[in-house]
Amino acid sequence: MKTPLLEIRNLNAWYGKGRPVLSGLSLELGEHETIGLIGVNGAGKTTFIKTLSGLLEGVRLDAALWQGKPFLFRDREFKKQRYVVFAEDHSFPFFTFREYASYVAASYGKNLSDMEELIHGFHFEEYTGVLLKELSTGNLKKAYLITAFALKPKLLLLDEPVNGLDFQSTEYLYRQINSYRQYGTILFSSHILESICLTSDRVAVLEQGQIKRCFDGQEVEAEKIREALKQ
Amino acid sequence: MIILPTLSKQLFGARYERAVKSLVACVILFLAVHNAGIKIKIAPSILLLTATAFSMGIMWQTIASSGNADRMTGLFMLPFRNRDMTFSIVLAFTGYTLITKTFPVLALLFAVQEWSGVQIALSLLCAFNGCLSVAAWYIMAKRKIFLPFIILWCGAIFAPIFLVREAVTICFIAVASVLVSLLRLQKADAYVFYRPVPAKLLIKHRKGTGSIFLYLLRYLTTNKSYLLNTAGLCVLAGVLPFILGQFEGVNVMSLGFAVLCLNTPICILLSCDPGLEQAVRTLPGQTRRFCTNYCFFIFSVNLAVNGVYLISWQIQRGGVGGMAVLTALLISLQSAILSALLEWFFPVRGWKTESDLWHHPRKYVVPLIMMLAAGLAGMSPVIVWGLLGIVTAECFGLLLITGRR
Repeated sequence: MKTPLLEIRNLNAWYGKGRPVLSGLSLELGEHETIGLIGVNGAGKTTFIKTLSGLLEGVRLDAALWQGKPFLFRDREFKKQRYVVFAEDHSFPFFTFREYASYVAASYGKNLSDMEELIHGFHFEEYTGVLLKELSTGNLKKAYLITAFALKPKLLLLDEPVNGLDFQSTEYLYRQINSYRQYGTILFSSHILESICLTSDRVAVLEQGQIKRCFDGQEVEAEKIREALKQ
Repeated sequence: MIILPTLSKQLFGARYERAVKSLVACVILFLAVHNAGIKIKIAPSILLLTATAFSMGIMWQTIASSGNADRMTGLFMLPFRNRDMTFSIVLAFTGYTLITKTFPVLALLFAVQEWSGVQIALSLLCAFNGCLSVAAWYIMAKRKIFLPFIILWCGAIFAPIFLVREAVTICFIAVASVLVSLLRLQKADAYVFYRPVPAKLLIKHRKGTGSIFLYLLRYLTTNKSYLLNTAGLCVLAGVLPFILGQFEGVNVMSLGFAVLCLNTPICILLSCDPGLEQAVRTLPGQTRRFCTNYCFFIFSVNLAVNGVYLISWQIQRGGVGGMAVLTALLISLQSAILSALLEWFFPVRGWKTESDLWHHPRKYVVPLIMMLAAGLAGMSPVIVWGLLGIVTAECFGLLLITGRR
């Protein structure tokens, strides 16, 4: 059996005492696949992604394995293998997009590839020299998405990536997600079932802090999942 | 008026816990300092001036806070009576200013001197007047009217405190000022307090390299108040040799280095920008890439200000030698290292307005340590060499640790 890229066992996460958000969450992410994470508002999708990003203090789990080896979410080597696009991100407001991308590339020790193509695809040519703090919500999201796809990490964590994007950029994003399998794995959270079904190999449903159900193969269809969740 | 409790809860917390904490802190501060037996004679005019001017400054910062637009968007979306909204905003901000900022200062002042009930009442009246007057001036300033009138009004408040110095007159003027403020606020448009970020013409920058130093330079130059603070320190650096030079027979030059490292705005980079903090904690290798550059940036600013101080000292008093330059370098660097470490490991969180950050007690930790170090360094050159050893060890240690993380 193939070793998963990432394996999380019995993850518990909380913001404060008596406020657990994730309780007993287990999930495996395979190499070169796209996994959609759905859940109602407040289900813990963002918390899960923040936990994987190493941002949460209140975390306890049985095991976290990266390619079969134990690791910590804050390990530098793990960080170099993943990039996160947060649902709300206002990082480095005094950098322009080009400066930000250059800084991120240097931090990961990588060169960014296909940058111009991505800039063109997201219709971002006008904004590459503008400070990030002056960009609109949608353009800011594009800046982080372009960086993510140009960086090509082994694991890409996208939290609500569609929010704020115009319809052309949304379609371009779907195409990028669909063609990313050649580079790595994407964990893509959204509360819009259709977005997830258009792009994912597998759909995990986050309920009450746990992955309660998983759909894959022929089951990954919005109507079928909606029906299954109703029952 | 449902708006007042709603806004107050946003500022003080859902159960007004911040107000309770602040009041308890005032009582503890008062009892601690009072029982320590520290006694200082403070002229009544200074006490009333502090109560008025300090409250005015904080109230202005609170009203002008950039976070207000986000905080009040929901409120302004609802149908409201203009007068209710105006008074709710002003009263909520006044309460916030008095309880979290003015009361602790007054508690400290009353703890170190003999006081009476009349003095306390008058100080509170002056502080309250300061807040309301500033609210009225803010409206007038935003409407770009009556600048001479504001200056006159300001003069009328401070003149009796300095010139007449009679409680009855000061009280009468303060009450009159409160009434005029209330009259002005009654006719104000509440939208004056709602300042959404204006849409600007997008400025394009040339191809950049992603240098943190450049980023921080932009951060400093874009924020006018931060730049003013740094410029103010440069002015202070120019006059400080004259002030400190009056202590004959004592080497106080190094104390000046420590005082001039008190550049708070650049030392709260991560605290004031949670988005940036999230980014640097998420990206790999930031302990080296970000922290080292951040530390170097604070060091450069500290050194620039201390450079002005050294030149000014040389012009006014002379005798600046190699040891003075070395002390300036070491204190600037040590202060930068401690500030960067403090910001990395203990950023201030949960603040409501920028004023909370600028007046957070944490900002005094590094200057206090630096004052102690500078005091010791002034006593003997051996201490300076000791400091050189410590700073060198810190630099190597930190480079070693950050290289691994």
